[in-house]
Amino acid sequence: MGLATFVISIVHGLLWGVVLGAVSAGLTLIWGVMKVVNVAHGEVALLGSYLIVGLYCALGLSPYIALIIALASGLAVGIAMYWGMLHKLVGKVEVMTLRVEMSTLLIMFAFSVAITNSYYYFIGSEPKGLGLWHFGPKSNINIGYLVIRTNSILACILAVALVAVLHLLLAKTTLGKAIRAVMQDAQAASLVGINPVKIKMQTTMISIAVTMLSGFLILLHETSIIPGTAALYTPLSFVIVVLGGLGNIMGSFVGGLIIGLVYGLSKAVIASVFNPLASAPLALSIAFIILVLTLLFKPEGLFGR
Amino acid sequence: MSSFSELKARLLKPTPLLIILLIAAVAVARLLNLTTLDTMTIFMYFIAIAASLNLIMGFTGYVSFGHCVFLGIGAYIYALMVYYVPWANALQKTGGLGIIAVALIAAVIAALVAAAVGLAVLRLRGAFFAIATIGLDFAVLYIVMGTVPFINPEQFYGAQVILPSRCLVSKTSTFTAMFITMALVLATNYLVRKSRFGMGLVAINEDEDAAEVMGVPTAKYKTLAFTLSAFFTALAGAVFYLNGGGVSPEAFDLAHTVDMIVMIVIGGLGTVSGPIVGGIVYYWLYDTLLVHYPGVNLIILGIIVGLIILFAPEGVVGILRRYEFKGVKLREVLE
Repeated sequence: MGLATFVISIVHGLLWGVVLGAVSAGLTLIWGVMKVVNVAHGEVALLGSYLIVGLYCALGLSPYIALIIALASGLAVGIAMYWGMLHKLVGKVEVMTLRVEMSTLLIMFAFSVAITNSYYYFIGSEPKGLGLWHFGPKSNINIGYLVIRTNSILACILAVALVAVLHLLLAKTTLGKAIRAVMQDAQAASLVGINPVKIKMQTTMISIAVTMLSGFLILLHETSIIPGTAALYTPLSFVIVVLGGLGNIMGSFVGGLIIGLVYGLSKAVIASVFNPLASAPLALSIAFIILVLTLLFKPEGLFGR
Repeated sequence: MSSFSELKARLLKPTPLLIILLIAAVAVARLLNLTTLDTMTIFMYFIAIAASLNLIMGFTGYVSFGHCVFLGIGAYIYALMVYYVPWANALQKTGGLGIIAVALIAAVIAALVAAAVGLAVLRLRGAFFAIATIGLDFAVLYIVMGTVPFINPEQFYGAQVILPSRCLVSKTSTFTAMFITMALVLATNYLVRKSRFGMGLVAINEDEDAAEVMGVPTAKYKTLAFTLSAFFTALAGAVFYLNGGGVSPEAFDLAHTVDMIVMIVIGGLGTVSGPIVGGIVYYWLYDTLLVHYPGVNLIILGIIVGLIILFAPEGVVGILRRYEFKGVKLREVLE
């Protein structure tokens, strides 16, 4: 493996890692605060992607305006999901028992089955994308032997912005403090005048909205999406969230970078020592081995106390 | 004579009766040629995998999302074995029992994998366990996709093992093999539920720490249940994919876990009759929805499962157990 391959795999790994980190932010929030494992995470992200593609292709709206509409509808979908599915299971529960946790897992699972198959039925399995739309004047940037798509760069910028805003929201605002209080101890939080039900609803809203926004990043990075794209992003988000520690936004961002980098490098190494065709699946299997090992040996995550 | 009447009294309770009736019904349907062999094989496959998952998920409450990993391992080992090992191919040609004999080897390997993995991941509780099983499934899936094509690049394109005609068996044989598999797993479910081991598993479901304190060897029991469950899943998977004429990475698809979980949630978690009731309801739903609403069938199923979890978390059997019938509390007779 030459230096060029090495540099290329690092750069592309990091570009994907940044996107992965931002995509996982919504999951780490809802999982950490409400102990709701959103098994439909990738599917929710694709909801955002499909919405933006639909608005762009059908109405000719600029993706930036579509992004704002995605944010608004994400908040609405969050409210609907909370009152429709989660409130009955976790709304009044202060200490999560195993049984409640399993119920939330199963209901999100049922939701993911319904929504994935809705994509197949209503949208179809052919790839959808923004076509020739690209960020900036050119579609590619060449730096020496590196070729980077400008859309990937936009995805990177937006990903960092998204994670930064979410981090500041949690760290600095009153709402963020209330969310962190509920995450630590819902019972104690309610003693100091925080309404846990309200906070749980707001957490769901933020999580779903952020996840739908991150669908745009997936769209930019992948150029086109199919319903099956979710089947890759959902489990990878689990890897990253567990690696970063539940509820830790910055942790999951770093986790995303790590997974992206590991994927890029191991793919290049496997391609050069074994077979290029086998490199992508084997590199992905490494990510999932990391998940199992993290759960076994450091379940609190890399940055857990 | 007393042991005979005792046995009679035991077998006439609803749950063993349901098992016996189901087995008899399938046998009669086969003898009278009521439906096609394929339909019945798939029906029995559904019940078999649901009952397999029930051993771990129903009794102990550990939700395993990655059980399709054992389905896939069983199917792949079986397919590769009959492809490469002449005596295995000869053995499976002898009929249903021959298929079971070969599938047992695949199932034992899957069970060994499960035992090794179970020892490690069963330390995790709740969602972490579920996520670990998903991680395991994807890890194995991608390893299969990355290695199987290179065993024999011309035959196994895209990690698909399509069995050539020299490795195929008659539909009658796969029917018999699936019949044996289903009967075995249902009997195991019943025996486990009635045993000290089964009581231990239910105690783990109620409160694992309390069970441990009361002297239930929780780690041993959980691993044993997980291994048994993986064993039967692999057995059913091997026969199912043989019936389909080959195996592809689709065997590791979480959709199979969807099938299993949906069935035991509909039927009722932690009961022996749950997987049977759930399997029948699910197969009926699957069949009618697939015929009348192709494409929308899984959307409707997802919604149904969601509603069951929200409004009837105990499932069909759980609801029935609340009622009395002619002065007999159904709770006492429906396991």
